[in-house]
Amino acid sequence: MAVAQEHAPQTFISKYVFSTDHKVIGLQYILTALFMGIVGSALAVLIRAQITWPEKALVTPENYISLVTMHGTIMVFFVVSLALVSGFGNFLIPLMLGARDMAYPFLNMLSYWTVVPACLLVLASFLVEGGAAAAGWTAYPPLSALPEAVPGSGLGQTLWLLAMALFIASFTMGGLNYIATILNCRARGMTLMRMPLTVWTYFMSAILGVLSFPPLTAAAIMLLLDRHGGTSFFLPEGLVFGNETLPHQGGTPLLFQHLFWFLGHPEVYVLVLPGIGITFDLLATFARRPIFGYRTSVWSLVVVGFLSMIVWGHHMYVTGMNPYVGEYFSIATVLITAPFAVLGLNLVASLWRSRIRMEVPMYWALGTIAVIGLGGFGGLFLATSISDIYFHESFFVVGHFHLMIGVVTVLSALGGTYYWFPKMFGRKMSVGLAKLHFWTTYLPVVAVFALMHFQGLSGLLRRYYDHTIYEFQEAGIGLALPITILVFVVTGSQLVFIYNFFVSMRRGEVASANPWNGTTLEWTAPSPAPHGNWPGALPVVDRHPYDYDPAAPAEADFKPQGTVA
Amino acid sequence: MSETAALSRPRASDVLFLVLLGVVAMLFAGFTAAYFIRRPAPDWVPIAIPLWSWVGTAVLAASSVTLELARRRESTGLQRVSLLLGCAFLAAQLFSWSGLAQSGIALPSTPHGAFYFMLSAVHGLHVIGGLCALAWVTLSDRPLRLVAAYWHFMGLVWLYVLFLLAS
Repeated sequence: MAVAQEHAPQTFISKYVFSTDHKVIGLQYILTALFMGIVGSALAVLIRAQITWPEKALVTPENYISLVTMHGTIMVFFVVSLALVSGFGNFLIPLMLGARDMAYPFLNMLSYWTVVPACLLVLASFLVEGGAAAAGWTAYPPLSALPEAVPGSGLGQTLWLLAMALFIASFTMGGLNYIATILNCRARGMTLMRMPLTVWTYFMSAILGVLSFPPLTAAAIMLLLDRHGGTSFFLPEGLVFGNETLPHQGGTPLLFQHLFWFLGHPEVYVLVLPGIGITFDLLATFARRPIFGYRTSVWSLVVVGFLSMIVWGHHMYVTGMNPYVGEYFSIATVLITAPFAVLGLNLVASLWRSRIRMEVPMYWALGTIAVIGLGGFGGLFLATSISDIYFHESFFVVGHFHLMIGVVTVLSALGGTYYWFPKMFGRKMSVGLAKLHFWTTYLPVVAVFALMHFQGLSGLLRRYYDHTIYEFQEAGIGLALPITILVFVVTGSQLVFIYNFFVSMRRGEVASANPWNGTTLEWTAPSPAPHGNWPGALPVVDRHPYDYDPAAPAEADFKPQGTVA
Repeated sequence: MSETAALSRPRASDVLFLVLLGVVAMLFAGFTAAYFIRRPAPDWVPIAIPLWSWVGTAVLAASSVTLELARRRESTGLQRVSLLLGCAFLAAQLFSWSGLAQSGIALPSTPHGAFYFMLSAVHGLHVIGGLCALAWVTLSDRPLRLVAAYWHFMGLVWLYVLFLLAS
């Protein structure tokens, strides 16, 4: 059916700008995230420079909290969410399911063009009077609720809220589209239990996203009313500003924290689960064997998704919550280790009796598994309220959450980029540069965040503008310089990636339709996949997604999941 | 996807619609949590639910009935009546706001009042969305099924909000 191609858009605007093609939209998201990632990384470098050389006073204290706030906001919502969830999700879901496009292509385009103004608002907030928002990426009141609290609480915070409103709208549209596509648009024979694990993780991620963002929307509406309507949802009595007592009374900032983390914790899984899914798919292809325990992995994902929605209080142990409530959140959080251990075990066991091909994407997949283990281990100490009370304000937390929502997600997204690049552009990325990129990224980035755990153990506190003036923090500050040097190495290494990405797009080695001998459906489409994904009829699925046989001869050790007539 | 139409799958529009209802439900669940956490504070002064609000509730209920009849009898006339009743509900809500304002209750006056204004506004915005959808299917002569279901759902949400505020 050449119908699909007859509808292929012709003009530059309809093909690359206002496109409804899921692959173009996916790449738009990825490139937008790449740009925002450069901004977010620049902020990280500034933060590190200030921590390492506080005597130089590179930024003012007010700007420093803005830097921390905006680094977190940009990286969580405008880099990892956009690249991994919206970018790869859009690109992969229809291709892996054997569909022509998403269920609602126009909604998909609308979702992208809603997030673009959100990015612009975030960037614009650096330029307004008072600077960007400074209440943390969590936007805790009263800093976020009182426009006069600190310089960043003014217009900067307003722009932050507007940007987040647009982001949530866009992300919800995306989530609705993912769920409708996965339930409705699968190819003939593609049952739910034959979907690649990547698609399963996007399914769970979309469900978590659409269910957990609305309460944050409710919180944001109340925050806006507190800021501009004079209400006191989150503002308690007795706040003094200047020499005046503010008229607010009766509100509680803790209410905002609960509503925020009701989103905030599932959001972690919205980001991490697709990273794990991509790692599973990379692993199967380069270990040349079926994924160990596919069904238990699927059910573990479902259990993880459910548990992730009832553990948000572990971000709030130090708020003076009732110890029994804290105990509940501790137990529920530690319970997550059970399904997560199943996922980790299945990842590692998928290497058992395999025939590993050490191609570039496999480096990233194996690296990601190691980081899941390392990050998860640190999580145990933060899940337990007793130890968390000691660690909570320290760099231990910074090290832990960066490993999980920063490193796991970015490593898997980079691995995914090397893996699916041929499907995106019909060319391969340079292997030499890719290996250079891997080693200069992986070792330093893991070292950076592992060392931060030790800084935290020694009592170094997070969010401080200048640690050196506090005697009790001296033990940990010695590691600041080595960490900062490693951060410079990692940041520089990404320039190699960006160079490799854009040069290989035009001059890379031409790739066949299935350069890695993969089994999932996207490899049955041409590289790059045309509008409508398959020039002829859609593939028909007749087996599970990972039909590899490590005992067979090298070129005949795989059977594609579907056949194209 | 017409090529997979023969497969027994839920309709994409149904899936999208049901998840959308889930999103709206979770939004009001967030407000509910806030309501119960905020209510025990000492500054909570209850307000009386304005009479216009009860009138509006009756109008909204009537609009659901006419819309359901319009769906079953495929009557465009009843569809238009429902549109008018929907607008009348919004007008009643506005009257209830001005009534509160005239008795000196502004947004910051009392947290109960703040919740009343906020929840009726958020619900009202969703009703406006429903009215736009209803106007669209009425003018373009499209199937009423999902719009009617959305309308009934927003009616139930309003009853829930009213129960929350009046209890």
